[in-house]
Amino acid sequence: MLQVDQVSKEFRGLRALNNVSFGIEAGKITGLIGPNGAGKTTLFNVISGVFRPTTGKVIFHNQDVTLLQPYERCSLGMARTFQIMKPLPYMSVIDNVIAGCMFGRYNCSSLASSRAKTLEILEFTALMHRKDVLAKELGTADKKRLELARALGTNPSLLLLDEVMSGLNNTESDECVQLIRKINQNGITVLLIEHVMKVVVNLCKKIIVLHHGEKIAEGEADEVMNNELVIEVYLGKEEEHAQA
Amino acid sequence: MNMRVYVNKNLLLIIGFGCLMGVPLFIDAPYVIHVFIMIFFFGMVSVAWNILGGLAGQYSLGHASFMAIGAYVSSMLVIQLDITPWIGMWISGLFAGVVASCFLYPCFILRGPYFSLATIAFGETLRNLFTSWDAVGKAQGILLPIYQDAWYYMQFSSKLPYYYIGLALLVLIYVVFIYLDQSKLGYAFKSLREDEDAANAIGINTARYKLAATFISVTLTAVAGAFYAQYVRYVEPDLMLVQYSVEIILPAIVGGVGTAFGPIIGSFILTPLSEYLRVAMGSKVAGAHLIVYALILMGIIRFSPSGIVGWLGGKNIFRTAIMKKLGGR
Repeated sequence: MLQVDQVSKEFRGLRALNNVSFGIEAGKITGLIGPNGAGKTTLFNVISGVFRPTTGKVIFHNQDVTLLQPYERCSLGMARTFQIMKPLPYMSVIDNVIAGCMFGRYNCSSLASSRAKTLEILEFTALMHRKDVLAKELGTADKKRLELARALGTNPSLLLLDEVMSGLNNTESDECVQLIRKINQNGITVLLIEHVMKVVVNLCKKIIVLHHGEKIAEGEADEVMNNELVIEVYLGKEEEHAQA
Repeated sequence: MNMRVYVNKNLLLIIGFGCLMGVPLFIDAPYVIHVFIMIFFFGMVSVAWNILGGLAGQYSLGHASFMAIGAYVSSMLVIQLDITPWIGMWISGLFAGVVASCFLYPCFILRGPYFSLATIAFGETLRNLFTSWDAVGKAQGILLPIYQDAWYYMQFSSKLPYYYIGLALLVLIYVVFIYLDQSKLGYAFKSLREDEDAANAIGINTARYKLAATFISVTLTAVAGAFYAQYVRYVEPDLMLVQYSVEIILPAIVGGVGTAFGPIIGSFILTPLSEYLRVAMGSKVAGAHLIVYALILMGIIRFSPSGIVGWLGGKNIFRTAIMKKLGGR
């Protein structure tokens, strides 16, 4: 459903992404991992339309979306969360999600219909008890949920999650894993960036590994975890005498 | 919503409106009526500014020039084409809306203070243009011809009709704000005010909605400007000074940015205050009233940074009772 085709992105000569290509199957959860500075978030920004790639194409639902703005991609069914959370701080939780419902693919024109959708989503993401709180007053875990809820409000077919688990404790992160799985079971394809290996291996059907802006591995979880290059990137090179 | 619920929810507003309707029955001093008219005028432009500044988060410091465009255009329509101001004020509003939208459109990529700077530049450019433009009377401005009690020309020898026209326009602009606040447009404005990137990511075409906010806000500001021109009967380029833009914004800041009622409360506090200080001190020590005004202003902003409406909302006892009635966020 999503094809990234030989995408490169340069920032004034600094090559953040180099010829990255991969595809994502509809209905699956795909993970994108890599060390800090590997270009994961840059790749996300290219996919969601914040940056235009220097070369290469992004194809979504068989349509070339490389030149489309984020809001246009959103109306095609692509939604994202931000690594540095961007709630609408001085609006209540319910208003945050209502805004999503009004302008995403639901495109509700009235406040009433959009509020009905919003209540469903708040129920689903377990934010109902916080609905009248200003978004800026939420804790990290709830803010991450709000990011998810607002993205779901746009009725996406592809959800891009940028490190939704970072900063969560074990319980919260387990709840979040459950939530992502539930979202996926509702038929939404997920592409997620994650640092917590346990989460990635647990959730993802397919994993893509980036390093220095290049794709170094792609495949099933255990396949990727046993890939020598990946181990080298994450843990450093094994020395000869250690191989006993 | 049935009538009873509506009345309950908006009790304070309705009482306030009723009192204002009745004021001229008890007070007939022209000066007091004049102060009320100025309160309505600054309330109008401040609520209109609040659509762009408070809802959409784009702080314009050029609104005095948009107001002056409204004043100029409606005056020129009366003088040159003999079009009645009752219609001319709406034409001038739409005209100013279109002009401001066209010129500010390229500025929408600017964020925060940079947008404000661009609007200052826009206002100053217009002021210089009007100061040296023959057709609009250069620096002398335009004097409207005087007719005695001519409905067609919106001219009356008494101040009372202006009082009611001003009140009606204020209510109209307030109603537009309330409607916008709860509409789809309003949600787009508020989302892009809070975070442009997030708004873009949830499907909001930020440039388009900034344009819509600018158009609505400037149109209403210019309509208020046309009303001002009819009341004062004199339009000059100095109306476009940044100083007046600040006077337009202050009621909103003091009352509560982004709230429907804030600018009106702000205007009810600031306009009489500045009038009173001018009368009480202006003749004794030159400039003293401005210093006192500035000190009082600093005090209000220091102790209630989120505005009077925000300050009322901050007290829990009042929160449910008053915030809802005032229609604040």
